[in-house]
Amino acid sequence: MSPGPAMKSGRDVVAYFAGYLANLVNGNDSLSETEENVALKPFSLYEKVHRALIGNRKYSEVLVGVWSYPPPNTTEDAADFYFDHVIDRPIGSRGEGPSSADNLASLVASHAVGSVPPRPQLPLSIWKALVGGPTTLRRFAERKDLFELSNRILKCLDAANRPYAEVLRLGLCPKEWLVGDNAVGVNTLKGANAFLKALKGEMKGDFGRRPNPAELGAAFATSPVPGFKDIKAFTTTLLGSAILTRLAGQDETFLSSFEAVEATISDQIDTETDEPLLDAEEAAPFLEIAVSAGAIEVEEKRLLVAIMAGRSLAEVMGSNLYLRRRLKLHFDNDLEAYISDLSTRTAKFVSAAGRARP
Amino acid sequence: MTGEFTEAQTARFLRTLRVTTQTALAQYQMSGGRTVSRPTVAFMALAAKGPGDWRFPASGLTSADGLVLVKLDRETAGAAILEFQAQGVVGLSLYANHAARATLAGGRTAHGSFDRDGRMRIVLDDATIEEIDLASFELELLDDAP
Repeated sequence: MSPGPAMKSGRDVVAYFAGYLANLVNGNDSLSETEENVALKPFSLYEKVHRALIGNRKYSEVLVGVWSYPPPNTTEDAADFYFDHVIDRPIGSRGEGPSSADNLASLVASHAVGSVPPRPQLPLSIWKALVGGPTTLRRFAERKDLFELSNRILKCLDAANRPYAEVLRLGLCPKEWLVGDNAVGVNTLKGANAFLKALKGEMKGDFGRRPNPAELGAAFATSPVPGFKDIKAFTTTLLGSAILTRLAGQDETFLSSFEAVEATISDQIDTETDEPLLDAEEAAPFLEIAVSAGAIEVEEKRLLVAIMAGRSLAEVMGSNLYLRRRLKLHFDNDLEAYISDLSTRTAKFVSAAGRARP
Repeated sequence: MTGEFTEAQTARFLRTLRVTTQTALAQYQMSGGRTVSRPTVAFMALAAKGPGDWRFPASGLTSADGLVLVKLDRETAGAAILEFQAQGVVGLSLYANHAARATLAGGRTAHGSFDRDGRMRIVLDDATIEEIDLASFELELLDDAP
């Protein structure tokens, strides 16, 4: 299987899922713009999220990872597990401050209509932060408010999704390594992934076989896994053995999916910040420089400014012949592919320019 | 750009870009934008390549948007039949009573029409079609109902 459009958009799938959840909570799938309030119905919301995790290939492959090994019994099983261990996973706070889920719950509570039942003093999950408080919300009508809801969900997802994504990145099944007797901590998973990356470099793209001792030794010297004194100590563990067995497999899906999952993780590094989002005016100077450098076109800058200012994609695309033409000629009218490409080009340019700073 | 923005400002910009574009996309697609701009949906098996011959799954393949399930039936004469079934109320409202075109590997196309129950059968007469050719294909809704 060759990587299709969904694989290419792996970089932003976590942010897209956060945006999807924000829009669902806000009732944007069923309510008109004139309706001021939205009722939070947990079961209905669960059904929609569950269905999306199963039916949307981008979610089922890159987020849920139904290709992982050993494969889950069914896509539904995998989606159930993802829901329980990511979306409903309790998120602890770092230090004494509130957790990202507490911050999400506060934002939801600030839109409550009527009284808000007291919450239990337990670490909240994304799910409980969203549906465990008020039952009716004043909708996030202003686009910047919806962006903030999406941003807070994304902060939770970046934390809650990390261990799951680290197991997928190893090509393994999260069900085997996140729960039960063989459960592995997130730091070991990160270390194992760094080792695997070094090992793949040593194997020079020649996968589908067991690495030789020289490759193993060199990779471990580059990226030792914390808690293991040498390569032998690591490869004789269940986790080490499973990683090498997976690497020796012939399944091409793993190799293409691996890159998509890795992109979802590495993307977080550059964008982690506790500061509020920029408004369109504040973001404009970055975009102007990207235009001057030829990374994006003037009309594309206008598109991004319009998005950040809260105009709908349909409205912006509908009123700009240049963008519609570009969408048709270069992206076969696939708006998602175009926006992902534009976002990636812009992010790459700004990241590179930021790294070039003395 | 050197020296113009701090690391914190750059991180804020990247975060803003990530959140706003993806939230806008999610809203656009939730409101049916995809249907307006490109009434095509992909079917793709999860592991089309492996050590053995690939077989079309007996449980069928679900479209990328989750709205259509397709199963493969083989007639005794050997012709392959793709049986599509729209899923749920949303799937029915989108596909029932509409003509559609499947584009298979190598650009081969086959036409059919969904009935009022959201069911469509397409007989593939081409004897050279193998199951691996059906591991990835697209279904496009045509503009007019039959």
